[in-house]
Amino acid sequence: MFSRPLSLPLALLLGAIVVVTLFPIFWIVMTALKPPTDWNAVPAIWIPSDPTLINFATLFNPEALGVYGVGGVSESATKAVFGSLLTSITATALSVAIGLAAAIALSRYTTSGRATPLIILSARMFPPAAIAVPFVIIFSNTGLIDTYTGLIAIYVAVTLPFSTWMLKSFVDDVPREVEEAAMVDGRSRFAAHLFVTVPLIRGGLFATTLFIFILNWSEFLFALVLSYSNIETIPVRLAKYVTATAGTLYGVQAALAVIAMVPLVIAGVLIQNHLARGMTFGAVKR
Amino acid sequence: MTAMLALRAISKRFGKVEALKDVDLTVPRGAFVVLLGAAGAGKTTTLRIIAGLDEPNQGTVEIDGRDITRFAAKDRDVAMIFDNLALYPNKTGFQNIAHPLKLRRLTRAKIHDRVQAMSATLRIAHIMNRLPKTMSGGERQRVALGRALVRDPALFLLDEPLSSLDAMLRLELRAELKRLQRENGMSFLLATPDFDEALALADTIVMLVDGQVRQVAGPHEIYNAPADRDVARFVGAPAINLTAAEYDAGDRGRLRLFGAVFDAPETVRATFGRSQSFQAGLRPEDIAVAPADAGPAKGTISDIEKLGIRAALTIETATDAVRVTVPAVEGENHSVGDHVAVLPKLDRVHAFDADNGCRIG
Amino acid sequence: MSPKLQLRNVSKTYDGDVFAVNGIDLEVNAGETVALLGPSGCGKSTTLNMIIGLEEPTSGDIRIDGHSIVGTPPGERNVGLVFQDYAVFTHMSVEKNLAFGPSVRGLPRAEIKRKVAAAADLLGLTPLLQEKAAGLGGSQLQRVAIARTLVTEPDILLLDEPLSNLETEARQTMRQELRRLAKDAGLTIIYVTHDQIEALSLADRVAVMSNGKIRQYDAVDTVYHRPGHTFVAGFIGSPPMNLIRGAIHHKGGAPVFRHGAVDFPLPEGFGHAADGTRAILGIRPEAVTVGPFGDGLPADIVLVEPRGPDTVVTASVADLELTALVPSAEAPLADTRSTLRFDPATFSLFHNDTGINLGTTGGEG
Repeated sequence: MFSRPLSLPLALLLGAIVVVTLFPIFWIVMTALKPPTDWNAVPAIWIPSDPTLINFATLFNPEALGVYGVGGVSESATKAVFGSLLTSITATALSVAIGLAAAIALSRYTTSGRATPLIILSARMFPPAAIAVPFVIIFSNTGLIDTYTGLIAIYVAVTLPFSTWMLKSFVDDVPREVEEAAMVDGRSRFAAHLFVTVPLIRGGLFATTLFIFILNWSEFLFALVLSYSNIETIPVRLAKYVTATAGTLYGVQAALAVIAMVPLVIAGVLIQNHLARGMTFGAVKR
Repeated sequence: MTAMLALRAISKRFGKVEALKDVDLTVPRGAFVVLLGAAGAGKTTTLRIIAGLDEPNQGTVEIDGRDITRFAAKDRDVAMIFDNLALYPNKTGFQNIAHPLKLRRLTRAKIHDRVQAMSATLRIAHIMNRLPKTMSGGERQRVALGRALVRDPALFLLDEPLSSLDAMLRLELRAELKRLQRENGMSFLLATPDFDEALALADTIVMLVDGQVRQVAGPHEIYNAPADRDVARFVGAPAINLTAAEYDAGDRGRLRLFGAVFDAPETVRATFGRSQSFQAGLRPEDIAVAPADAGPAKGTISDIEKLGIRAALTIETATDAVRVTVPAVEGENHSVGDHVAVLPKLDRVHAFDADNGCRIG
Repeated sequence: MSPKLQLRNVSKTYDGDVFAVNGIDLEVNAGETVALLGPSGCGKSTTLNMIIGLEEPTSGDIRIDGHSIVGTPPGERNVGLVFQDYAVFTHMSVEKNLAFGPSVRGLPRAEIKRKVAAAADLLGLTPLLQEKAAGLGGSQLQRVAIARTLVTEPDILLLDEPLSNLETEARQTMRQELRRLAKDAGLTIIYVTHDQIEALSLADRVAVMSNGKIRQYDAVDTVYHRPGHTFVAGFIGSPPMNLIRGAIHHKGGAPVFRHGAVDFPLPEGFGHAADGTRAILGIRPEAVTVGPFGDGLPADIVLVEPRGPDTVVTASVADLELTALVPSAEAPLADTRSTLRFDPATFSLFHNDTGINLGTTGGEG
């Protein structure tokens, strides 16, 4: 259906949508390449006349902006990048793994209590602000505050309802009989789940992983209130580029934001082929 | 013939619903047994219990005399064809059929040979490299069949394997199924709601109504001597005529039927002995149509249905709408509105208890 | 007067060269019931879709009352379709379901009420009007689906596999009801089905389709007794006709049909063909009798399938497998030897290449 050439009005409309969608990304990338003098110039400078990597340098060498007379950046962003990678990857892997087990269990074994999945999802109805403070208290008393372990635990707890819910819908799409056929063919129940159903929901598994990773990667509130000095993540780091002398360092923030986008873009490109659903079509007669 | 499969007093509840009540069933080695019943009668549950996909609340499942009630599905040596086929959608025809062999750790060469032979038997060699979604309904059916047959298990369970196919394809595959089973001496238990399929295929039919076995009999017997009213109504199309009747033992025996009185034949007198009311069942082919002055039970033709070789007439008598089948040629001599006499073949009357529906005599 | 519906040389191709429907002609008169019968993939559903307007023909013309409807949107064709899976709104009452179509069209309340009452009466739904559709059984849903289409007063009523979701007993009742409906309401009805019993029992005329073509369009009895094409012969009848390849020969002045070493005597009518004309012989299973006849054709009984009143017997003769339909009381046992007799008066002969019925002339070409 995409082989037909687009009509002109439709092409214009789609073009406009693309422009509007991509503009913030364009702006961020451009800002990251601007020297401090161009950051909030009036009128706005669209494309830096003299692109520089000084903002990126500042992320890892706090003194770099000194050449422009801008100081007050105290810390390198290395810890934040490391922290974000560690917490997001670990928490996403755990959340998807536990969520997959839960999804299969809910889809295949629940004969009564259809409300259970809803109850799980309702755990996410609480605004994070409402549960953040109790967690600060609990974590302070258990020594989990300001540790990666603590942050990962929170991230798993918070994203688990999503991963369970999403994966359950994919598992539900695989007819139960396909697993049962494998059992009659000679697989154990567990092996049928693992070797029959899981490969069939591969696309859904990738989509869920990406979604949960984005949630974790961009989480701010918990990372802020549960960290003091030992741990840091990119969103928290971003908020710290405000100096007493030079105000907000837009260029440096933009540079970090560009770095923050990189893993998402890579992940998106890698798995886009798997995102399409419909693998199960043809399994059963209709 | 030894009993290959035996179910003893199987009961199964789902919540408050009693799906199976005290079901006994045997499949002799090399036999074709058909589980016949309407939707919801418990056919699929029975098959799932035998396959090990559901556990019974009571009773035992035995294969070759061994109690396997608590065995996992993979340890039972049965193959099952599901009503929705349940092919592996991400595997080709070849891989689908090869799957059970791979799990049994056969060598690649052996797997290849057996799948090849199976695909030749089922005439699906040309689709071995295709995914199920690109196959036609009949082809998928054959792949599912191949996946079950390739293993050589002790018992085959088939859950309405032909129900969603075209009429023509269904007949073709039905004949093929019977041939495969006979030629290879396999033991089949097939569930179907289609009595026609049951009569054509079965050595023995097990009739299931509301989770209970009502009759176990050969095709001939189940049609000609149904154990009760429900079985009689389920088997046969057009359905058997059921009507209130009365036997009067006086005056050499008389039968009141369709609002008329007939002399009772010897068979009926022997069945009843004393006067009583009952429910009479008469198959549509066991009633003849004659000119209006030819018999005491009269009526008007209200509908004529062409069925190919036969025509089915509906005749409104004083008491009932009677369905009668006649050869197609004879059907052309009648038209709607004709006044006729219905002549029941009285020695073919099935008698059922008016209250519980059980066969009398 | 022009026919109610007319298809003229209608074709539908996909991707340029795949013919779903290949040049069909079909005429349906007002008040007539016609069945489009064929296996899946024969083109009957595409034909249905083109009549409703869900698909447009690649070439050819479709007319209602003499006016072309090609290009007219489905909603303006005044053609009613009853879906196979009913498509009844289960959360609504029966009455609301019936009133849905007319109220969407903005008809006055009183008129809607009158139409709903009439349709409900026609299909025996009056006592169920206030029931929720969710609680209804299969045949009741079917009736609601039909009634809902009838309230829109279509010129033509199309039914797509109307009985396939019903159980045997409900099917019988529904068939009877549909026949009554056709007669009482004087509707023009087209059934689309793969089930020959449905076609034979409901229709006045049957169009048998295969591979996008109509193989025969004739009255029900003609289609059954004088199949116009080998496809029709092999499709209609249960079991279908035995089809045997061979040639017509003259043996001592009398025509015979010879397959290998087996001779089937032909009736006189087939005697005009030249000696050695290749053809296909069609024998209805009910024209074959099985028994220990002195002069019968010796055969091995391979398979015996009881069906209640009669039994299907498969017998092998040389390299042929012939099916016979005999009364159950006369059925032989499997794996025995017996003999067959035939009733030549019911034989059909078909052209060896085209598969077209040669009639009783014996065919020259």
